Amino acid sequence: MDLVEAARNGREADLLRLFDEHHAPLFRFAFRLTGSVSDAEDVVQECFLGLLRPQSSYDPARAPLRTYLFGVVRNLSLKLRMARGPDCDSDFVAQSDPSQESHLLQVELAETVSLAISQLPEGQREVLLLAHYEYLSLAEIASVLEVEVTTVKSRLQRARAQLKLTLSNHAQGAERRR
Amino acid sequence: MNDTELDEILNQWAAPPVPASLRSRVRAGFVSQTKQETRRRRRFSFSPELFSSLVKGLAGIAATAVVCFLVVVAAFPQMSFVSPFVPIRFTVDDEYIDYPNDGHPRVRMRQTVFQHNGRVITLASSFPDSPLETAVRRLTDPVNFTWYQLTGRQLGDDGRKIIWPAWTREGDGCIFPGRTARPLMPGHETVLNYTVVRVVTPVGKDRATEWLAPDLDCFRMRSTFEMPSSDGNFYLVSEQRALKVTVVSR
Repeated sequence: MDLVEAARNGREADLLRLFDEHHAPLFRFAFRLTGSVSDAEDVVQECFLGLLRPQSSYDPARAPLRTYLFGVVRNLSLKLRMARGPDCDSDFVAQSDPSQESHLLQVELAETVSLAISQLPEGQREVLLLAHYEYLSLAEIASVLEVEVTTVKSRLQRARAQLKLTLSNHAQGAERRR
Repeated sequence: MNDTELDEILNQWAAPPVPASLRSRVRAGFVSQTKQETRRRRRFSFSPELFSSLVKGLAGIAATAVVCFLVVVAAFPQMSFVSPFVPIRFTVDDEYIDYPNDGHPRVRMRQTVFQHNGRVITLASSFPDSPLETAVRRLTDPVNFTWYQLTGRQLGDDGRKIIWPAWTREGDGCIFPGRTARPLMPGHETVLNYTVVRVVTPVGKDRATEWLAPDLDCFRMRSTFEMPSSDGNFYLVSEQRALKVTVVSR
């Protein structure tokens, strides 16, 4: 019996093992998609609890658990964003202490990066987050997003090209301000 | 900007650490969900499972009761006398004897019977020369008795057939409706200390004789079947005779 099946049968220890193995990248991905710590928490919690429900669509024969979980986080995050609308508040840049000057530039840069990524088309943004921050392979991303590998590859190329352009402009502007 | 520079810039956007509360939230949700799921399973599976268990339980109880009943009745036919459905006033143990030409009478069957509404109902029977038939009847007799208690019919009885004897008591004698105009009164003969009415009925050239006890609802205490011999006398072919009468209720 695998961990998922054991957890579905009520074994809490196995659920916690699953959680410990997978929660960190899922939380990061959810946070970067939703822009909110509390939303990311909600998404990850629902992701694990949904996995244990009898009606869960998880099928180990179709996809590895990691890929499946990323797909669930992505779908839940999308639903959350759609429900809340595009102009909701986010915690993108609230992670550092702005009172410390040494962090000001880093905070500003992080804000810029998050903003640049958030302005990418949805498909490109998801591909970039999974590829760059979570180190998923192109095949894994294709499985999460349920698209062809070639599509993933082209989206990733376009996303990186767009970010180079956006962030180059920002870097030049920052350089000029200095 | 090359790829390396882009990666370095992208890495500036660090995700916050996972809140410590997330693990406990998932754990609490798991506990709550497990309880709900358990309740849901109980609720949705309650009816069929309970019904199935109930049916199995009842079937088991019924089967056990029937087996116990059959065993007890087969082992102790007298136990059947305490019938809640059919009043049993008395039972009679009797035997059937064949008289073959070899001069060696043979008991064909022994049985314990009672009479109800003119019908003779077998409680238990045995066949001295046939252990197999005895074993079969040890099972079928209780079933037949139970069936009669429940339905008023015997197994194989179509409900219209009048089970012989159909003699009934009237006054101090016995009458066969449609066959005797008035009751036949007992003479001086007795069988097992019960005064009896002797009825002789020609059957072709043969002769059937019955001894009926008015005090036992004209139960046939004895009967013989005789055939004529060449010298004009009758010789006994078969006989039924009561061996014991047990009065259950008066």
